[in-house]
Amino acid sequence: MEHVLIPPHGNVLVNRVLSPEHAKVAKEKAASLVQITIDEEQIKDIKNIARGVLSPLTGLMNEADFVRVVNEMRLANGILWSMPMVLDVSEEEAGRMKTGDEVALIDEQKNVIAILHVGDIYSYDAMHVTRQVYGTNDQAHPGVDRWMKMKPLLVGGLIDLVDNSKEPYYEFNLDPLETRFLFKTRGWKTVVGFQTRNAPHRAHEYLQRIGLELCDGLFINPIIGMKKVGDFKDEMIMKTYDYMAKQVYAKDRVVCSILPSRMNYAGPRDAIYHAIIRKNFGCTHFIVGRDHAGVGDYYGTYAAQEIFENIAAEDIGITILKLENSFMCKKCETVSTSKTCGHQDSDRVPPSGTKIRNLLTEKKPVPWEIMRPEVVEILLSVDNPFVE
Amino acid sequence: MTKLITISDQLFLELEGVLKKKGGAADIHAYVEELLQKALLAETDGIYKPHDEAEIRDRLKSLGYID
Ligand SMILES: [Zn+2]
Repeated sequence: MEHVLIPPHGNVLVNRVLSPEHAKVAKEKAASLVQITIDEEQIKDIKNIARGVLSPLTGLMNEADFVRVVNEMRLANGILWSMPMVLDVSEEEAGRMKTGDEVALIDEQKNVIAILHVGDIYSYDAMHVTRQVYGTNDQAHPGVDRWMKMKPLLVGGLIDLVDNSKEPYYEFNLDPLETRFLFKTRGWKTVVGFQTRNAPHRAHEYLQRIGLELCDGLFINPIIGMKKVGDFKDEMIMKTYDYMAKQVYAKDRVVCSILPSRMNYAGPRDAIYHAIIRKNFGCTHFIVGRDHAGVGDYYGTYAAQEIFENIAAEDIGITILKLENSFMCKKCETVSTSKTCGHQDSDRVPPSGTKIRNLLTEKKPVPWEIMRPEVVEILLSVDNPFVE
Repeated sequence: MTKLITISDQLFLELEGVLKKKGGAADIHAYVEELLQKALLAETDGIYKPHDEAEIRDRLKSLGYID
């Protein structure tokens, strides 16, 4: 019985994926509807909503949800929610639709992605949104930059997904229903979720091992999609984690599947968002390290952990594992944290993303204290493991 | 076809309580599941992709997630 797993957020696992027959009808109908072109990141949002990844959202936010999420981190009905999920449109586009209409959302190649049942069409104050959601108005922050460049109006409404394709990496792209089934099949009662956008180094592995010691299973769920120059290519993240799951960790204790999603870099609010998504996938626990989902110096080191202190356990519903940064200690002769190692900084080899990137770019091996040699080998087997 | 759904512990316990009081259902889990499936199917009227456990199992098998 499914209820032995954690309930999804808001208690309903949303399904807005049209059946093949209804998708065909919708596709034909779309030719006669107003069409709005959406970009790759918006397509990911829409697919995530339809597949239940963002349960209980059933569509793009109407104004009441949007305003309350921005100001109070709650949906209009009071359910905890941290990130606005919206579609921005121009005055001209808004002029072609009204509440109650059906609109076709299409990609740049004119493929029909979804039907939007138009709800509210409303304006917003981008400066207010970014101050509330990202804690800054600095346009150097990628999340702020996005909001500053958005079209002037937002449109909300229910989504019906027409295009349920899962490329790229369809073989690693599981829906919440599938992960929940998988966890249940493996007999897991507790599952810890791990968010990442990197190939694994020793400190990541250490956090995952702590999670695995505490829970029956580990769900590694890398965010796949648009990245910054210098980030690991999606393919390298998949390859290295596939290796970890199949060759390093105990058999049938780890599931690795991707999360196609935009990167928000919203620090504390993102930590809540990431936790809710993993709860929908069926995780009972979620790891939040230091500097979770941050960028630059916008958030305090522990901000993403501290935000959970003011959230009631029943509101978030998933247990947050707040973990420390780790390093290899030469004197401890193992990976340690400031909680477990009493040695000097000079004895410690911390994992530095910059150092890893520089060494790999120069085709030099990363020291074994920082990254597993087998993982390094995978990363060195291609011309460039990083986004150019 | 079994439609996989998820309900809160609280809702499950409430439903179980009602059923126990009324008596009759041999397997309360199965009964609650069937009841909720009916309600959900009525609500969506087959518009959305059905949650077919056999299909999920096949896909997970073909991708190597389960044996
Ligand atoms: Zn030490």
